[in-house]
Amino acid sequence: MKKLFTEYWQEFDVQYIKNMYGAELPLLYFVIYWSWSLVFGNAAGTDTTSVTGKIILAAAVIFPTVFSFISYTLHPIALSKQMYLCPLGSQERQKLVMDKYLFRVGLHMTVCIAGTVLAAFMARGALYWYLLILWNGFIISIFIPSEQEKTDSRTKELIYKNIMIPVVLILNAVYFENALNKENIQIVYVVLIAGFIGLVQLPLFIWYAGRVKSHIRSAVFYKTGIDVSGRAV
Amino acid sequence: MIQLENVCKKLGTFELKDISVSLPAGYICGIAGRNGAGKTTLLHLLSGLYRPDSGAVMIFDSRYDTQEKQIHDSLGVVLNEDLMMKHLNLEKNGDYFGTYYSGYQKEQLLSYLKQFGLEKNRKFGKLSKGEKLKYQFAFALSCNPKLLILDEPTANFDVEFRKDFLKLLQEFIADGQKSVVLATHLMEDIDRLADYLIYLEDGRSIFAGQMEDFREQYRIVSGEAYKIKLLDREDIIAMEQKKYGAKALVRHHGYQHYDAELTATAPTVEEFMYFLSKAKTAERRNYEKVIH
Repeated sequence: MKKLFTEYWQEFDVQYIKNMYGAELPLLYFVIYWSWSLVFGNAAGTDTTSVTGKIILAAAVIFPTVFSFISYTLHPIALSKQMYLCPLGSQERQKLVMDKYLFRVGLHMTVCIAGTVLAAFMARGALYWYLLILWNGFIISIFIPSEQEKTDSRTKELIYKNIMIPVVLILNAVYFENALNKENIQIVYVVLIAGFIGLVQLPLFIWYAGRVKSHIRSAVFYKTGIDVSGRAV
Repeated sequence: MIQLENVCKKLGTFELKDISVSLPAGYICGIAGRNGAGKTTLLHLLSGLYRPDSGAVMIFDSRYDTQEKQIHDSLGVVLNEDLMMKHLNLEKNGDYFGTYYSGYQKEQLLSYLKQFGLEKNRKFGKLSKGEKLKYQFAFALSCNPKLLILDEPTANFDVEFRKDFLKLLQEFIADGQKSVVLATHLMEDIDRLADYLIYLEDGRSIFAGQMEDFREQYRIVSGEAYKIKLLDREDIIAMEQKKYGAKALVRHHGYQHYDAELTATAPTVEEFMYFLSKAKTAERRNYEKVIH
């Protein structure tokens, strides 16, 4: 665990901002702008009157998404170059890549859960709203940077991420507002939310999870575009 | 120790094609060529970072496909880029990566650090370019490899350390069981040290073999231009005419005799590279192989 954390900390490097090609850099701007307006604006109501209360509650819901976005963007899926020179078999290296990835997802979810629990503790409200916020947090937490080479799959991944992040932020704000207002969920809401999750979010999530699996397999070898079975990726 | 058989690798628009060479244990192989010739690509193939598109790369009679771990355990690689963790100090970097190597000895690393004038508590990211390369070299040596692969390590070394570095390389191969592959722009290092030479040009191997054979196959012929032009035209690779004479790189045949007024010497790698690039320029411009 210490080694994983050391590697995670080592790779948290602003230099990877230069890897934010395509739409991801403007998306970062959007995320920061949106987060800032929610934290200091009135978009998310609160039942506390203090500014501190507003900031904590809004940041507890928005911050996890922002953290996950910055974290996944600034961390490559691949190992450091020296690790590809170390005496490791492909299975061992795959385990390292997977451990590194799962550690990152775990960290994102830990931040997400901590923020959501804090929000739930301070604002109260129905549990299901916070579970929906956690589901959105999980969707973002599995993201990885897209490959640099311009391919069809890269374009699709960028489109998916660029749509999903703002959708998640908007939905979280809606869920959070409903939780704060202590509103009982209307049947129409249940249908809309279930329909959106079941017909849109879940299929796309499953598709993207497949892409993540493919990237992890190709990260086992250094930039050669082959996976553990020797197939071209 | 190293066997390359018709190795090809395509990366974007660049292609390394049909590289074949055999290097036994106990020797130093120099890889030379201009920028973009394919030296780093070849070193990446030798170190297992890249896999060839076709052909075979055999290290210690093994292939990376099947024996990657064993090969890497006996390999020390120093690339001209930062490979270590920049937030860890030199000792901890050794501990971090050294655990993967069966031959790694921490005392040896600390000893090399002392010899190279590096403090073990300094963070890797805070070192200068030359110091980083020194550290990576020290780490590679402390893993007790059988094969050292070095990509332009001397470019950032100070003059004094360069001498120590070259001496260390000679000591490394002294037991006859280990080899070194060294890519460098400093041709005098190759002339002085290398037993084998791979000369690359645009991804092709112009020469791959023993230095002795290289020196036997080519000559730098100096003298009057008209006398040089009397040589077989096919053998003249490139000629440079100056105010008071001319110089040419020619293919040498064992039986060949030169005019008494011409001076024929074995070329240095630098001279070879110089005339080869001139020949290429002349070819591109469709000029005669004579430049003024």
